[in-house]
Amino acid sequence: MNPMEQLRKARPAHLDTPVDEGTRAAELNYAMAQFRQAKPARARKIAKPVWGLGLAGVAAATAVAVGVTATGGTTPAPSAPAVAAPQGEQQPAVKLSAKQVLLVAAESSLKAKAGSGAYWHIVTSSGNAQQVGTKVQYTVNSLGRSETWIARSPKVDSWWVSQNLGTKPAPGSEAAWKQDGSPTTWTVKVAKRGGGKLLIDSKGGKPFGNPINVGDKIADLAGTNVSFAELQTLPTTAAALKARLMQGYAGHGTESDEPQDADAWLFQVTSGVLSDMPVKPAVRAAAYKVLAGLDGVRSLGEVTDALGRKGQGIGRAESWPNGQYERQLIIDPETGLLLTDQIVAVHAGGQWAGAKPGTVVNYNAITKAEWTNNKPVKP
Amino acid sequence: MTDDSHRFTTMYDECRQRVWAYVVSQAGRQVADEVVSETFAIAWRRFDDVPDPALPWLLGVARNVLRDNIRAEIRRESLAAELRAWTEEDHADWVAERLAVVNALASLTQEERELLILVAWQGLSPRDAARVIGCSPAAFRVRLHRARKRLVQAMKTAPVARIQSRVRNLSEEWS
Repeated sequence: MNPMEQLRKARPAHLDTPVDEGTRAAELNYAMAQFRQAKPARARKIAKPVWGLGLAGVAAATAVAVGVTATGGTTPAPSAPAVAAPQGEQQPAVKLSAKQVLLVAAESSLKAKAGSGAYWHIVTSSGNAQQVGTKVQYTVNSLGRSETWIARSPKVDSWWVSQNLGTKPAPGSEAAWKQDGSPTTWTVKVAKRGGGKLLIDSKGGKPFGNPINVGDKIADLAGTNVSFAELQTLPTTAAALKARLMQGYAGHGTESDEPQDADAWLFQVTSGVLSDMPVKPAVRAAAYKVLAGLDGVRSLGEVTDALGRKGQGIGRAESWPNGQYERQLIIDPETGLLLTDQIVAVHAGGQWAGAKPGTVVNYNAITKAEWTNNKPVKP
Repeated sequence: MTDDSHRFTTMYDECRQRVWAYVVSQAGRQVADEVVSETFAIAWRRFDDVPDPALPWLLGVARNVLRDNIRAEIRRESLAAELRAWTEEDHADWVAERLAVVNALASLTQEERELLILVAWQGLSPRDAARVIGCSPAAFRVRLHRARKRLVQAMKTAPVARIQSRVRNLSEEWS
């Protein structure tokens, strides 16, 4: 037999091991968080049609959102002048700017029905990165799950239940973790006077929870506690909602006295409305429009979140005392749902010093946000 | 940027598996994910330079990342573990011929092994394989011819029976 043929047949089967979804998401996120070396002058050949079937709907919705008539039609191509025109003989390429993504999400939010039910029930998965390692530096993620039940009635308690799901090497850090001796606990220095230390265990914990309402107040909106009823009266136009939220801006962050510029603050507070608050669909739409009106928001295109879900990403650079980061929202434009709110390292310092650019240092992924009559499951 | 992200994701999905397989065959599983991750990060930074088809270009980048980012000592250790795994996996399927080939391959130099793997396992044309390692197609053919001869020699000098017992010994040693 031909030796090359023999060699070909001897190929180890494990070389075909497919990539797992988590690694895929991490690698794509990491890659696309890199700064592009732009070469604008050169035309590129498009190898494949850009839009899959599912995204055709987005293109159609874009046309609606920017005010082009598209009367009930679902075929995007002829009715989508808002979309970049095909160049030469290339396949049509649809470019959604951050603004377009947000306006599509705003439009889609209005399709949701106003909810009924005793509780607004939110389930989230979260991850918080820590830089660890003795022989080598790498990143571990402390994972958690939380459930929140916000009661419609002011006479009923609202509840929050949280569980530590343990800590494991972040995607891409497995090799370094093994090199470090595969530890199951880690010690990290924490910024404390005198130098504090924090022990992290790979093991998770039991769920714990408590009521979160203070009287009839159930949430912190722009620095002030508000009731369910007050949330129902939020303005439904972008300008009025922005003005209402900005009343709470005092030049510093919501949870600290660190100075924070108005746009960064508004981006964060408005994202909060979209991620956890029981507000009317029209208020969600207005919130997306507030974000669409902010400067410095860039489109990340289609991205995959830490749970492997695809969405359209938008991001805004943030400068903190401990480095440069980007706050990213991953949105499903077709439903207007906010899938994930995350912070990605650009030039990380402080507790995240050494985190590679593109590392997701903190994420909050919303897996459920719906009305229910089921009572809170208390631990 | 949306269309670029889509094209990039498409490229990733088409090539990731093969880039990973190449890195594993060069330096083992322990370092593969790290190298692959860095390779695609570079591909995104230099997306305007990525030719079509992208695979040979990506393999060339992975090759450089492996050389520049992973310490030689770690590379060696990881590769040694990988070569052992090739002869130890599929215990039920210890086909003598396969063992002879894999053992012969393991006995070659890194360069010879790489040439053979690019062609036989990655299915690259000599032209694309030459692009990966950065030489002319003519030079590649000469080197490939030599590597092939060395493989055949190695298979002859390592009779199947002896290899089988050697593998048994090895697996005892490492168990």
